[in-house]
Amino acid sequence: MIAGRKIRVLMLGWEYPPRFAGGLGKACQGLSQALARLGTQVFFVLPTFPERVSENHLEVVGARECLLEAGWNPDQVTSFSAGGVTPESEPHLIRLQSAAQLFPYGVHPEGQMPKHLGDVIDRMAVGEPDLGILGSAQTSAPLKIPQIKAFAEKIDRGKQIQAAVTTAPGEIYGKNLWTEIERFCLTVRHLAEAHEVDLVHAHDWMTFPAAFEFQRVTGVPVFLHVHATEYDRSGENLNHEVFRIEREGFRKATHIFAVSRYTAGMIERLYGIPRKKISVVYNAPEEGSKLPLFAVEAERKPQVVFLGRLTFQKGPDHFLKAAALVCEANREAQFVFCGTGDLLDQLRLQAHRLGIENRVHFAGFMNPTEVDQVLLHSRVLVMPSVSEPFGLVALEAIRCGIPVILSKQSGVREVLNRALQVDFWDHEKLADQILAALRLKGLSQQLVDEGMDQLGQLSWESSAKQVVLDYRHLLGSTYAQSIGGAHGR
Amino acid sequence: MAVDLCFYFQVHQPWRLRPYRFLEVGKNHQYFDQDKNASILRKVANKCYLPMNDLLYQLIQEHQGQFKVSFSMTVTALQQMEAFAPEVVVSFKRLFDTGCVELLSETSHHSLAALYSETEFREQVELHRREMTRALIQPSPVFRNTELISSNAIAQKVAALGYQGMLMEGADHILRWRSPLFKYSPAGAPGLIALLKNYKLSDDIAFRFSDRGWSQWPLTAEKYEHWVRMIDLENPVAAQGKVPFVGLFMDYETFGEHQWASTGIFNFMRALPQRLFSVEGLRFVTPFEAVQAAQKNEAGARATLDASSPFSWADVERDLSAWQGNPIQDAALRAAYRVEEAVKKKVSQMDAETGQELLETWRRLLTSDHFYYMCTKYFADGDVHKYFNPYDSPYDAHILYMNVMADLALRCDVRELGIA
Repeated sequence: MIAGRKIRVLMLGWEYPPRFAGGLGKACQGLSQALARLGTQVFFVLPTFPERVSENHLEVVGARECLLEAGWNPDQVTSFSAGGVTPESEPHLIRLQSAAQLFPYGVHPEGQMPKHLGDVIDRMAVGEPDLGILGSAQTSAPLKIPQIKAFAEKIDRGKQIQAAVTTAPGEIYGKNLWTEIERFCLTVRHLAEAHEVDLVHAHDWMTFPAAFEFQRVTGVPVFLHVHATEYDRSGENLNHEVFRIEREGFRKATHIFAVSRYTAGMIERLYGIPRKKISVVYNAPEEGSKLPLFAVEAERKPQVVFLGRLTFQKGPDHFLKAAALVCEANREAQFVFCGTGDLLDQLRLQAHRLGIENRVHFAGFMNPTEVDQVLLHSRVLVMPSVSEPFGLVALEAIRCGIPVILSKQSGVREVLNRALQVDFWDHEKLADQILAALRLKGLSQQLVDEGMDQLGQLSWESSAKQVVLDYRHLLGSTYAQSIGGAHGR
Repeated sequence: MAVDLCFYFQVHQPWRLRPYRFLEVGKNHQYFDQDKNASILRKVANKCYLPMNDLLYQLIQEHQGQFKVSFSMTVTALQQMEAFAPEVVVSFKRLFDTGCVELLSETSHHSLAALYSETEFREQVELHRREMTRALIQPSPVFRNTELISSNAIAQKVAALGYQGMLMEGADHILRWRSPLFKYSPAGAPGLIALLKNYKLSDDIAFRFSDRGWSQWPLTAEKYEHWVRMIDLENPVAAQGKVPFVGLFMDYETFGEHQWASTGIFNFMRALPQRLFSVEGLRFVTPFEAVQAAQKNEAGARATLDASSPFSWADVERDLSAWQGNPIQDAALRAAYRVEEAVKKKVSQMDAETGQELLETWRRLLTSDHFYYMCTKYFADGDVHKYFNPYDSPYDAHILYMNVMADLALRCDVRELGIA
C-alpha cells in the first residue's frame, strides 16, 4: 500500500522542547527528528506550542496556536484564551510549573471527567470503531507537507469546537487535565479533515483519546508509544480512569512501542496485552549534543546527585536513607536533590530527623545547563526509582563523566548494563555502592568509560529505523485487521 | 601407531565472599560466605566429585592399571571438602591409593603469585605440597600453575624450584606453526619439559560436549576414538620417531557440573577407555610418566617454546585478560599484593594460631577467582564469566573485595592502601 513512498505520521504528544519538564519531551523530539531524517513525514501536534518548529519533513505545532492563526480571537474564544507562557528571563526554557495541572506525571487528574471525553473513552472501549472516511490514507495523491494554514481554514469552519469546550478564561491548559485532554481530543479530530496521514503515533495516555478520535474519522491505524504507565506513576494507587484509558488504548491500538523490555513486560502483565503486539524502542542520548568539557577531577566534590521529581515513584526517600548510612562512614559526602515535587517537605523533615540536614541540599527545579553543572561537579548519580520505564538521566550523567547507580526496577539498565545496579529498597547496598563510587577512582573511571561505549551504541537513528520497520510491516500486512479492532479484544 | 594420552583434571573451589559492607570495616573480620561455600561444595560433590571419582575408580579396576589419570587440587578446595563434605576426601584418597592417579603440584590458593610475588609463590607451592601430602598423597615433580598461566619467566622459576615438568596451554599464538603433540622446553629452562594441552580434543569434552549447535553433537566414544586415530595420520611427531602426546586438560567440574549428567557425559567417559584401548599402541600416561619418557628417550632433541608474555588456558584470548587488565582488576590486584609485607610482619608479631589465621585469610583473598569475577569482557566469551560469578556484577565483586581489603589493611596497620 505504501511501499515505495514516504510514510506520513501524525504524532500526538504532550511535551516538546523547549516545552518540557522531563524525559518525555526530549524523547519525542529525538524520535521525531530522527524519523524526519529518515524521510518520514512527521506532523507533531501538542496542546500548545507557540514556538512552532518547521523543518524538512518535520512540523511541530500547538493545537491552540493553530486555532489562533485561523483568526480566532482568544479573548472571545474562551476555550483557547491566551496566557503568558515564556518567562522573559529564560527565553530558551519554558517551565511548565505555571500550569502544573497540565503535567500528568505524579499529579492525578482532578475533578470529574468532562462528558465529551467520557464519550470518547467509552467509544475506545467499544469493539467496533467508527470506520470514518477509511479511504483517505490509501489515496495515492501527491504528498503535501501538512500546511498549518489549510488546517486552520478547516478549523475555521468547525465552530463546534467552541461549543464543546468550556474552559474559563486565563487558563493555558484548561482548568484541569481532563478538560485539556478533551480539548486536545476535539481539536485533533478536526485535523483529520485537513490532513492525509497514514497513521497516528501517540505518546502516553493523555493523547490516546485524541488518537482514537482521529482514527474514528479517518480510519488510520493507531500506534501508541508508552514512556510510562500508570503503574510507574502511581504504583498501586492507580487512577482507575487513567488506567482504563491506557488499557482500552492498548487493546485497540494497532501496535505499541515501549521504551524498554521492562515496560513492555508491564504492558503485557498488568494490562493483558500480547507481547507480540509490543516492540521495544529505546531512548537515546540527545542528538548532536556536545559533550560538556570534562570537569577537572579536582573540581569534583564528593557530591551525590538525585535528579528527578520528588515523588514516591522516583524513590527520593530511598536516596535519603542511603545517604544517612553513607554519612556514617564518609564525613565529606554531600547529597543534592535536583528537582521538586510533592515529597519535598517530607524529605526536608526526614533529613532533619536523620540528622543529615547539613549534608543534604534541595536545589529545586533546574534547567539543562544547571543540571550539567551539577553533574560536572559531582561524583555519582543515583536513580533509585521504584519503577522507571527508561531513565534518561542516567545517560546524561554518563555524558557528564560520572558513574550511575541504577534501580534494578528500570529500563535503562537494559542498554546500560555496565553500571552499578541495586534494588531501590536495599539501602545498605545502595550506601555501599555510593561509598565505593566516592572512594574507588578506578571503579568510577571504568564505569564511565564503559558507559560511554554503551552510550555510543545508542542512537535515535537506529530507534527510528525500528519504528519505521514496524510502521511498514503493520501498514502492509495488518492494516485492515487493525481497523477492525481485532487486536487484543 | 603409538600415542600417549594424558588426562589431567583440575579440582578447585574458591572461598567466596559474603556481602561485606564498607560500614563493617574495622568492626567485623568475617569475610567469607560460609553458607554459600558449603552449599556449592556439597552440590558439586554430589553432582561431580563423588560420582566421577567412583566412575574413575571402576575404570581403573576394570583396566587393571592401564587406565590412568591425574589431578591437581588446590588447598582451598581441600579445605572446603574437609569442612563441608569429608567423604569427598576419602573418595579421592581411594583413587590416589590405586597407584594409577597422579597429583600435580601447584600453588596452595590458586593464586596469581607467580606474576606478583616470588616469595609468596614459593611459600604457596610449599604449603600446597605439605597440605596435599598430609591429606592425600605427595604431589609429583610436575607443576601446573594457576589456570595454566605460563611464560619464560614463570617456567624458569618453576625449574629453579626443582620441578621436572610443567603443564601449559597449547596456545596457537605461542606454538604458531608447531604442534602441541611434541614436548618442548621453555626458553631459559632447558631441563624443564613442557606438556601441552591439546585444546581441540580437550574442549570437545569440556565445552562442546552438550552443545547442540555443534556440528559434531552428539559426541560419542566411537567418534572420539576416530579423532584420536586421526592424530597419527598427519602428525610430524611419529615421523620423527617420537610418540605424540595428547594432553586432555580440563576442569574436573566438567563432569556433572558444567556438563550435567543428563547430557550423557558420564556414559561417554565410562565407554571411552575401552574404545581407546582398541587403538593399537595407545597408552594412558600420567604427566610424570610423560616427562620421564621424554627425559629418557628424547633428551637433547626438544624444541624451545618461547613465551615472553604470559599465556593461559582461559577464554579465547588464552592470555591474562580474564584476571587483569581492566582498572578494577588492576586496582584490586595492587591492593592485594601491596599488603603482603604488612600482613607477614603482623603475622610474625602474633601468636602462632592468630597469625596463621590472618595469613590464611589474606591468602584466600589471593585466589584468582576474585579477580576473574571483576572481568568485564562481557560480550563473547564473557558469558562464561557471568555464569561463574557469585556476585551481581563485576563492579559489585570489586566493591566487595575492596571493602574486605580495606579491613584487612586496617588490621595490618596499613593506613593508605594506594587503591586509587
